[in-house]
Amino acid sequence: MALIPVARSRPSPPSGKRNLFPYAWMTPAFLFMALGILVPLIYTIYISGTNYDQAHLYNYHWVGLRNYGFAFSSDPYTGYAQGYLWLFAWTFAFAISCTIVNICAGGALALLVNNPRLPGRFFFRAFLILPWALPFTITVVAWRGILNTDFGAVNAILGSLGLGRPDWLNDPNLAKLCLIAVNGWFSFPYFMVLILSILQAIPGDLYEVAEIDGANAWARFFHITIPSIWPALAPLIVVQFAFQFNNAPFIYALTNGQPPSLDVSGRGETDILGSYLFSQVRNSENFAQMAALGTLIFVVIIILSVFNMRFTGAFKETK
Amino acid sequence: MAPGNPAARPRPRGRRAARRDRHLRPDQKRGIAVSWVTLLLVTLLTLFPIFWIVMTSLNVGNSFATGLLPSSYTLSHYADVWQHTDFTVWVRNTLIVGTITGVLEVVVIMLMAYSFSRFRFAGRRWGLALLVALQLFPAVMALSADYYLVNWISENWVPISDNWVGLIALYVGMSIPFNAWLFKGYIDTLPYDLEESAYIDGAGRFVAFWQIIVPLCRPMMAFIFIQGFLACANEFLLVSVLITDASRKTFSMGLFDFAMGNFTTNWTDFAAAAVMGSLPWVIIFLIAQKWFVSGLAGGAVKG
Repeated sequence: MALIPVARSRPSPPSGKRNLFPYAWMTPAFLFMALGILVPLIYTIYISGTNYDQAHLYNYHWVGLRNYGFAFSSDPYTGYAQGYLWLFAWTFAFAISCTIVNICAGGALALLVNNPRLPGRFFFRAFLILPWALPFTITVVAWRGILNTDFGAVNAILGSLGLGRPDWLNDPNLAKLCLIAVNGWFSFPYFMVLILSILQAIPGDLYEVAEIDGANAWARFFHITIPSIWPALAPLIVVQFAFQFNNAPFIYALTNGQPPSLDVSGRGETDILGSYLFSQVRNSENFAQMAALGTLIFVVIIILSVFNMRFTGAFKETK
Repeated sequence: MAPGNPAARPRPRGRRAARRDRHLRPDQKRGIAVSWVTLLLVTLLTLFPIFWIVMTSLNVGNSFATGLLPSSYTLSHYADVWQHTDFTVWVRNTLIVGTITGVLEVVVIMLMAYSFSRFRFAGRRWGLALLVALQLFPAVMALSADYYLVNWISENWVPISDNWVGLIALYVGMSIPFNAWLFKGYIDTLPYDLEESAYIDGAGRFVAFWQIIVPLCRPMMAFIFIQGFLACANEFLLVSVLITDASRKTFSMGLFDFAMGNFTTNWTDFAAAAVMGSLPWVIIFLIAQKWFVSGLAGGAVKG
C-alpha cells in the first residue's frame, strides 16, 4: 500500500528473550506512566464503586454499581440518562466534525502550498503556521473577545455592514458551530504541516507518469495522493478523534459549556462529556458519580477507537 | 525514508523551476491564480485574531478597539503588565518547569522507544497495545484522582503537593504513550546495518546506543523536548488543580486567571500580556519548526 520508499529496519535481537535489558530501560518510563496515568485510572475506577462525595470524605465505603445507575436511569428527577445521552451525542458530533474539518482544511491547504509553481508559497506557510505556534491560552481567550456579542470584532464588522449582531456564544446552535470553527482555526496548521511533509515524500515521477498516461487531476489525487498518504494519516485520524473527544480544556476555555441547559444533569448546551465532568467535579463535588462517568467515557472512547483502527487500518505493528 | 537525511527527499523546486515553467497552459495559470487567491483569503482570516490582539493591546482605556483600529495608540499597557502583575514570575516558572519536563521526557521516552523498536521480548505486544490504549485516556477524567494521589504521596512519603515535583511527574507520565509510540516508529525507520556492524566490531549495547542511535535521533529528541516544553506553557487545567501558591503559577495559568478571574476583564492589559508572552514561544517555535515536522512525520511514516 505504501508507495513511500521506507528503509525497513530489521531488528534482530542481539540476545534471547530472557534478557532483562529492555525491561530495565523501560522502567523509568513505566514508573512515570504509572504515576501519571495508570494509578489515577485505577483509582478513578475504584472510586466509582464507592459513595465518596462531599458528605463522605473520610468514611466512604463500597456501594457496588450504584453510581452507574444515574447514567442509565430516565427518572425525570434523579435520572441523568437523558442528559448523558445529549452530552454523548454532542461529544460524538463535535469529535467527528472537528476531525473532518481539521484534516480536510489542513490537507487542502497542504495541497495548495505544495504546488512548486505557486509564487510566495513559503510566506503562506510561515503565516499559516502561527495559530499552532501561539500559546493556546492566549488565543482562546482572544477568541472569546472576538466573538463577544456586544463588543466583539466579528459583530463590529457585521454591524457596520448592517447584518445584525448574532449572539455567537450564547445561542446553543451558533455556539456549537463557533466551537467547531474555532477548533479548526487552532488545529489546521498542525495537519497542514504534517500532510505537507508526507506529500513531499511522494516521488514526483509518479505524477509525471500518470500525467503522460492521461490521468486528470482528480484521478491523480484519488489514485496517487490519497493512497500514498493514507498509511501515515490513518493513525493521526484515530488519535485526533480521541483527542477531540476528550478536548475538555478547549470547551472549558472558550464557552465553559454555556449556555446552560434545563437538564437535571446540570450540563451546559455546549459541554462535551469531559468538560461537563470537570465542572461537575469543581461545583457539585459528587466525586463518586463523576468517577463513574469518567470510567464510562474511557470505555466508550476505547470502543470507538478500536472501531476506528479497524476501519482505517491504523496502528498495525510492522513486522 | 530517513527523515533526518535531506538527500532522501526530493529537493523542493524553487525559483529555477518557476522560470522554466513560465510557459504554462492557460488552465494551469488559472489553477495557480485560484489557489493563490484562496490562500491569501485563508491567510488573512487566520491572521485576523492575531492582528486583533495586537491592536487591542495598543488601544487606550481597558476595552476593545470599537472598530477595527484603535482611535489612539498607547504603550502603557505593556508597562502596566510588566509592573503590576507577576508576569516575569510566570515566565520564569514556565521556563523552569518546561525545561525539566522536556529533558525528562526525552530521556525516558527515548529509552522506552529504543527498547520497543530494537528488542523482541516477552510482553512486548502487550506493552505496545497499552501505549495505544493509554493515548486515548482522557486526562481530565483523572484530575481529581491526580489531586488525591499527589496529596496522598505528600502526606505519606515525600512532599510533592503544591510544588513542581508532582506537576512535572504527571506531565511526563501523560506525555509518554503518544510520544513513545511516535519515537518507536521513528527508530523503526533507521537502518539496522549500522548497529549490526558496530556489534560485529565488538561494540557493546551502550556504545551502539550512544554513538549510533542518539546522534541519528536528534531531530526526534528536539521534537519531544520542544513539544513537552510548549505543552507546559499551554496546559492550565492540571496546574490549576495542583498549584495554589501564587508564586508557583505557570504562564498559562497566570494569564488565564488574570483574564477570567476578575468580574470584568481588563482586555487591553490582557492583550499586552498576550503579545509579550507569545513572542518567546513563537520565536522558539519558528526556529524549531523543521525538527517538529521531521520528528512528527518521521514517526508517523512508518513502514
